[in-house]
Amino acid sequence: MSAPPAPGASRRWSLVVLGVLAGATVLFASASDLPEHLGYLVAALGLGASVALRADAPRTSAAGAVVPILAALTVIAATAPSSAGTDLFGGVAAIALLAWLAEDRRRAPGGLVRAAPSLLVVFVALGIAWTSALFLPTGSARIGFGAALLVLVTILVAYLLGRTDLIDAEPPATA
Amino acid sequence: MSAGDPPGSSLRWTPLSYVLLGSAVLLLLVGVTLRAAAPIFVALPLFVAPIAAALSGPRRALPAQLVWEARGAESEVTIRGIVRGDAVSDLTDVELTFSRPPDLTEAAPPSVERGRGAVGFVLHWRAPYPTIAVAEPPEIVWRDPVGLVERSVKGRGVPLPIERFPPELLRLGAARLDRVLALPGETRSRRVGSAGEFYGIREASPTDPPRRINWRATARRGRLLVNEFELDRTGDVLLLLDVRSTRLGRGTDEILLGAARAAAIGIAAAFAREKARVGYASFGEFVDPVPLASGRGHRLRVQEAIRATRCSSVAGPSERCAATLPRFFPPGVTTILISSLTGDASADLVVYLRRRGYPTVVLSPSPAPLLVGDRPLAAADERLAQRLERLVRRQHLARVWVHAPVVDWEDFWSLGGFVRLMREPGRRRSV
Repeated sequence: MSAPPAPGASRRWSLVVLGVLAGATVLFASASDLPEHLGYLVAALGLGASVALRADAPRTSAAGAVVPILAALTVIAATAPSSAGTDLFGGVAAIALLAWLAEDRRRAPGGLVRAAPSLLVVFVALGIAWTSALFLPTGSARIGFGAALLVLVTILVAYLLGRTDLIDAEPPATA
Repeated sequence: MSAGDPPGSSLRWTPLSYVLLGSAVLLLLVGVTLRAAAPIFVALPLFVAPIAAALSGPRRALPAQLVWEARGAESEVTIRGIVRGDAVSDLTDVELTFSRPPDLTEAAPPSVERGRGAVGFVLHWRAPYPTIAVAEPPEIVWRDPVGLVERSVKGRGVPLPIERFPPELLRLGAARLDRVLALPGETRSRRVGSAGEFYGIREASPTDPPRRINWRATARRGRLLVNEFELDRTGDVLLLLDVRSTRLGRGTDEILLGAARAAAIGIAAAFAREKARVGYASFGEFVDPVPLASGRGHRLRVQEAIRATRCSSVAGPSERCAATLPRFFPPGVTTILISSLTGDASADLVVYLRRRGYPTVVLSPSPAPLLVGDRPLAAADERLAQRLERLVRRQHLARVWVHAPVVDWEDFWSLGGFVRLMREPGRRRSV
């Protein structure tokens, strides 16, 4: 067994990821149509509640800790105007949330590094969607395009939820 | 799930995954309803992340092997274990969920050390009372770093028996027991001692009594030599557990029965090591017997029966037990009755056993230590209550002592008095 990484390094990475999440959420809130202080308040409340819940909650209820920040992002997103910058901030905030989930101090240190391949896939998907949206005419068309894509993904996810065996690999045939 | 994988090892979505997907659906609806793009862009990573996590993890159940052992003495239970994978598996994201037997408490949080190919763990538990708990293997699950998908690991390991009983019982095997067979056979004990068939001569030690010195051999060699003897096979013993519920309540009865079972396991093992024939019976509503026999297989059978013994909610009459026992155990067999002796029914059982010809020794786990602090009393009143309780119990045990010797087992981690009693046949009284 290799020696576990120093707790200080793990703690530092947690703080960095939390800082990125806080920054992205605050930027997203500042771009929304909410009154200035209210936007920051919603972001701070959501983030603070999630951090507090995650620090105290047992591992089994970790899913509950993410609800406040998701609620805050939903409120901010619902009031955000449609622009390339706002869309990017929203997407980055969601990816920062996933990165924050990967840096769990109760699990093996270095979760962010190990989660990098799957986060990269998410980042690429967001990048493709965002650049595609840039070339679409403004207004309802891009929303319809994005929504259609997401509906397809939803159907795919719903299908995979019931058919996890499709992801499993068959064992190699033996002689 | 692949063909060779065990059931339950297919990929599972965690609750976090469902929360993210539910939020994503909500954001999508908000985006479409309000005709806003920002919610859709927030929803996109939440939709894609679970699928990406599922595809980036292992595509089959990881093979792993659990090796673990329990150590410690008396109340201390330290379990060390390691989960090893194969050469290519990465176990860094493997999570272990431990289930602690109800008899044990947690002394310190578990420490887990992770590596790429193995996960080591140390559990610090405590057994407040003697116990024969069985620790189920931990649930070993691979979970992606974000915590969105999980999959059970192949190969869980075997349950770990944890036996904690007073260490004095290890010396109990030297107690001489009566035989109830006319022809006990030629099976000899592996013990070498001070009586029996001549075995050999050895150098004398300062603790050897003078009567064991072989004076002729000493004169020939010019130094003190003593005789050694191969002990005869010891006799037969019946362990009888009174598992009827008492007025103490279910919780206290369970704790006392736990200690009684641990003592029974220790006593049975001590006598079985000496090739004594050991029988076991529990009495709740009816008698549940394991007849007298010896050998390794029988030892396991007795252990299994003791482990399976539970408190009986229906209490059978004491006479029924005494009347049933002769069908399985010949009268005259040394009987160790383990009973809390709470109430007259237990005391009656001793009387009936004596009448049926069973020389009985009673080991009585005392409920007194369990009742300390249970009452809402001031310190002085509590001390007085304990003193009164002790007096009442002593009086009750004295009534039983008329029929059979009784050992009041108050300090659960010591059975020195019981072992001394058993090793002195004169004090045990015969029928």
